[in-house]
This record gives sequence, C-alpha cells and structure tokens, in this order.
Amino acid sequence: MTVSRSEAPLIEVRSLTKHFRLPGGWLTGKRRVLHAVDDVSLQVYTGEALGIVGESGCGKTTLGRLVLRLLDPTAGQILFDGREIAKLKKSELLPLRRQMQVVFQNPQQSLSARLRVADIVAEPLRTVGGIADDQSRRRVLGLLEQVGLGAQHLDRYPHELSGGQCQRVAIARALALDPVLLVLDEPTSALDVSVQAQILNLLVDLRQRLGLTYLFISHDLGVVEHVCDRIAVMYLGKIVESGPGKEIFAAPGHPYTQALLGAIPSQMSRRGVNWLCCRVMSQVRQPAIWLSIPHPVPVGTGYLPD
Amino acid sequence: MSVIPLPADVEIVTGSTRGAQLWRVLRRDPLSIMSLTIILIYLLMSLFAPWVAPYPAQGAGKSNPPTVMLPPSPQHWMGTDQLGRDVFSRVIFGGRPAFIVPLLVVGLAVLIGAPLGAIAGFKGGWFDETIMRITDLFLAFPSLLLAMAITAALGRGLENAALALVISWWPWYARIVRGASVSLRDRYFVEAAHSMGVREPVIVARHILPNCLTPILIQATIDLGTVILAMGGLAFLGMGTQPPAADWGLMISEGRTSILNAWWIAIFPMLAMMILVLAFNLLGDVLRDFFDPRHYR
Repeated sequence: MTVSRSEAPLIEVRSLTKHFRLPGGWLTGKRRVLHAVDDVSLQVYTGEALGIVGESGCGKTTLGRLVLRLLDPTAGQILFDGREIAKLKKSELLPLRRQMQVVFQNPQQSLSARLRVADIVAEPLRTVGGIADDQSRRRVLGLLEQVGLGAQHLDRYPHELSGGQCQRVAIARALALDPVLLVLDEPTSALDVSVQAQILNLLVDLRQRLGLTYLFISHDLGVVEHVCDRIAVMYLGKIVESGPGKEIFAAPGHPYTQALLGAIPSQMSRRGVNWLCCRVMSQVRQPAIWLSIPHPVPVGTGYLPD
Repeated sequence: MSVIPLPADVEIVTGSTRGAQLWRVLRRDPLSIMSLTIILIYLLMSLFAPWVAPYPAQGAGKSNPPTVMLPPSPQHWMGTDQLGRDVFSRVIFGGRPAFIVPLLVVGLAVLIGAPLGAIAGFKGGWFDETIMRITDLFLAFPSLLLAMAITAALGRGLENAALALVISWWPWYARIVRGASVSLRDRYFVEAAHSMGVREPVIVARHILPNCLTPILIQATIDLGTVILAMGGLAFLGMGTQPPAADWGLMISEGRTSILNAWWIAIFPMLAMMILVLAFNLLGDVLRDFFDPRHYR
C-alpha cells in the first residue's frame, strides 16, 4: 500500500490529555482520576490509515472520541486540516462534523431499532446534507451498493439483518456525507471471523476508491496490519511506539509491543509461520508478556491520585 | 465520492414490519382479540351514541315519568332509572365522558410527559433535576386524591375533572420516558447521530422518543383502565360530569340509593366500566409480553 503524504497532516494531535474523575472519595478527600489519554501526540496524513492498537481499557476508544470531539479534552490540541478544534463549541463543530464520521464496534447497537435501513442511511443526507427525500432515495441505493448491499435491504429493520450487514449499513451511513476522515472503532471485533475478513476487505477497498483517511482502532494486531499503513501502540493512555506496520512487526521496540505480538500465535500461523516456530517465539517472548501483567490495582488505564 | 448509477426500475421489497408482527401475535391470542373487539365496540358506541342508543333523548338526560324504575325487559334491555330514563341508552351516552375523555386524558398526559422526560434524560444536569423534582412533588400524592383536590380548587365539571387528571398523570410518563432516555443517551446510534452533526432537538425527536415508544404504549394501555376508574370515581363523588348528563360513575352514584329495589340502575354502568377496564388490562399484558425482549424472534 502506498502512502501519499501531503504537506500538512489531516489530523494532528498535540499532547492530548483526557482525565475522567472517578466517583467516590468525597469522604476521604482523595478524588481519584482516571488518566484515559495521557499526553498523546500523533499525526494522520490525508489518504493514510493509522492503526491504534492496545488492550481493552488502554484509552484508544477515548482517543477516537476525542478526535471526533464527542468528548471534551482535558488538555492539548487537536488540529483538523490545520484548524484547532479542541476548544470549539458544539455549534461551531456542526459544519465540521460532516467531514469526519465514525463506525462503532457493535453494529446492531449503532443503528436505531425503530428506523428502516433506508431512513438510517438517509438520515445524514436529510438532516445535515439538506437533500430532498426523493433524491436521497437514489443516493441511499448508491451508498448501499457501494458497501455490497442492495435495494432488497432498503425497507428492512436492523433486527432483520445480520451483524455484518448491519456494519455495512453503518459504513454506508458514515459515507453518506462524503467524509474525508473515518474513525473506525473496532469495526470488526463483534463479528464472526469470516465476516470480519469481508468487512476489512470492504474497508480497504473503499479507502482506495474514495481516497479516505482512516483512524483505525483495534486490539487485534493482525486486523490492523491488514488495513493500516502506520501503527501506533497504546498502553495505559500513552503511545509507546509508532511507525510503519511492517517495521513494527519486524522489530517491535517496546516490550509491550513485543508482548502484544507474542499474544497472537494464531496470527503467526495465519501469516505462514509454522507451528514450531510459533511455539518457540511465544516462549522467547514470555518475559515480555510478564511485563504487561504486574499492575494489580490499575486495571487497564492507570488510576492515579490527583 | 462516486456513486454507482442504478437502473431506473429498481424494485423495492418490503420486509415484515413490527406492525405486521404485532398483528400476527394478536391474531394468535384469543384474549387479546377479544379485548381489542370490546374496546372497538365501546369506542364506536360512544362516538355514535345518538344513533346507536334506542332512546337518545333519555340518554342525553330527558326524564320520562311513565316508565320509572322498570326492570329489564325487551323494551328496556337494562331497565329504567328513577326518572324513567332507559339505562341502556344512558350507559351508551355515559361512555362519552367515561371512556372517550380518559382516552384524551392519557393522550395529553403522554404528550406533556414524554417530551419532558425525554429531554430531561437526554440533557441531564439542572434541567433533569428540576423536572424530576417537580414530578416527585406530584407523585408524592395519590393520583386520585390529587385530582380530587385540583377539581375542588378549579370547580366541578367534566372539563376540570379531565384537566385535573392530566395534571396528576403526566409525571408518570415523564418518569418512565426519562428512564428510557437515560439508557438510550449513551447508545452508539445516538453517538453516531452526534458525530454526523445532527442537532440535539432532532436527535431527541428522531432517536430518543421513537425508541421510548414501547414503555409508553404499555404504560398508556394499562393506565387507561386506571384513568377510567379515576374518572368514574370523580363522577361518583359529583366532581365530574354534572346531571342530567350520563356518566357511568354518576349513574352508579344515582343508582346506589335504590340498589335493593332497582339493582339494574347501578349494576349495568358498573359492569360496563368493569368490562372495559378488564379489556384494557388484558391488552396491556399482551402488549407488554410482545415488546418484552425475550419474546423477540
């Protein structure tokens, strides 16, 4: 996959931080604060796919939501196309929203059960795009075809579709407003392996065809490698390592990355490495896995007293 | 983005809708069909009372001295009352305040309570707190007692009784919808609408409220029976419909004094009310079962 880098990054994040205040502690006076995203900086260039990898609770989803400004950052800057958006008000964000769209993990839950597929995909067209109903129907069909669905799905309700079909509808909806950036938050982790592959291939295909930029969030290194040019590894709210996917796979620098790689033996066999090699490697990486474990109290992201 | 052109004659296939599913479930259940039929008959009889009732003038309140307190007979199916009026005609006319008005009361209570609850749950913060404390205030009193107090303050009469019931019933809907709204607020499809740039009032109207429809519908169906009883209670106490107009509660009150020598005057409006309330309760149960997630196919 070729990386076409323009001069300025489409998204630039500078020492972005998000703290969540945890409930309780008002009696002792010790307010506990969750450092979900801690001083993260990264750039995503136009046409590029950046993968964010990490275990559950490492703050990668929060990072995605911050970039979309679905959450307000505690500190730091977010530059979208050179414009600082971290401190914009909700009303000021509305015109920018159509340029960045999101696809969520759980496809059934990301579609309203009361709306038909046609209305779900048409919603951004009508409410934001200002396109009339009769025109939007043709447009919706075009979008559905683009994600591998057809006219027979138009009048279905989400509960009548499979998980993979729901995810295709969610992708069609995300594409409706011609966005430049797609934030994909674990788009395949709730799907069967066979369906995962179809959706991933669709995403790769769409990116090439439409020149989209992806921020791809996943815990599955194999999935990220398939879709992304560059990978950033996140651990306890910080980015511990980033670089081109091939380099990270060939020579993981950070012990946590090594542990992540060691934790996917099935991935090894998928990549043609034989069983014996796989075993040896997992033994070699045993200490690396051990490194990630000794955090008894802070499960996932670090709990630190403020 | 390029959109693939389509042939002009695209056939649109309709999948099975929730409405069709509901109809299938109802058709399989004889009780629900029965209760629906009963409600429909009541509705038609009340709406077309002047044409359905055998003695429309008496139904509306005109007394007829020659036929005082006659027992049920082929001429007067439910007998006549102390003023010689045909009880059957009165029961049919009584359905207007006793059944149509509660329908309007519940409808209005939903219209006021549901949007307030949806916004409160969605916005949270001070708005939520304010609305919920106000509903707490209302819910602290028994609904019927509150309605009686309000009617007493406003003055007797059907309109005031109905208004009083609306005032004491909307907080229930605000409460129910607020709970549903809170659980929907953080769902992915709402977040997706946010990220699309859909404005908040549109999100509430298009995503939150339609997804609260199930609890509203079930509560409204079960509530209708209660409101019919409350309306009857107010009429019985002389706070609702004023004589000579007919109302089941009022008729029971009027017939109460002669229950030993002319049982039919009070019993038939009682039966009319009981059957209708029962029908609504049965329908409410069926609806609740249908919308229960465990009943999904």
